[in-house]
Amino acid sequence: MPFDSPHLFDTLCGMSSAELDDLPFGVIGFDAQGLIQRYNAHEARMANFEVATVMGQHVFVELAPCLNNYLVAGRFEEAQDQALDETLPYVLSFRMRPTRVQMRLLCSPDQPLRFILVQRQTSSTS
Amino acid sequence: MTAESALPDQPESASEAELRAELRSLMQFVHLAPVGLIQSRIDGRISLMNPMATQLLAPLGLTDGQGALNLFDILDKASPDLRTLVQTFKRTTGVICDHYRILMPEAQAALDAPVALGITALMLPGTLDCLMVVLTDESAHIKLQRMKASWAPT
Repeated sequence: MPFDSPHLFDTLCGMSSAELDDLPFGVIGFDAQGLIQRYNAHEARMANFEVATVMGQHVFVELAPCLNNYLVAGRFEEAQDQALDETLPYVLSFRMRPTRVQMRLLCSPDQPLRFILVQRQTSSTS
Repeated sequence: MTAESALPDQPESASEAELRAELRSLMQFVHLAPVGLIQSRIDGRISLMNPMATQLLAPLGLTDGQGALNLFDILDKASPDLRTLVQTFKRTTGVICDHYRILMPEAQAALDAPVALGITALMLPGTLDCLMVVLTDESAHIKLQRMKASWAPT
């Protein structure tokens, strides 16, 4: 399942944890309160976080305050009861080292979970 | 991006666990700092930056393009002044500028994007080729100035 698949959101909602773990990009799924319910193995490996530690954390306060801004968290707030499927270039600062990524933001009014997908670029930025 | 090393297979010692906890705590502290913090080379290549720096520089096209990030190239879209100030700074340590204010190009900015930045830059003592930059959001100050100007009697 590629990162830019047009029907990815519906597929993600129906995937088991094991299936999410097989994806070649990071998947962070969180509920309307911002609490993380899905966190796949790829993201855990790249961010060096343990899945068990991350589950239940607030995505924008505890896990990734670097996304708590008008570019990412604000987009979910603006979407409110509308569907959101937006891909944007972003710079993550994991351990303060700038890292270029492609980020895809997904939500839908008829699904309880929202998703942030993270695809790292292969070339180093440092 | 280079993948971070996997979590160690061997059990950690107490001191290693303590160091890891301290590092995580320190990282969270810097992550939540309400100012942008950037460490770069003298030629502008960014080596370290925190999330607020990302946020403040995003309206200047920080996330556009490929490859290494260069602070001067990014700031050039608003003002080339920092590049000039650094290039003409003759000492090896000290403050290059303190809350130097630049106005952001407003045309493409989102509603919540900053309209002005304050830049403090210094050469760190004891290091070579290392520039420390602190970015602050000066939007509130600028907006207040504009409001006051609009109240002034004509």
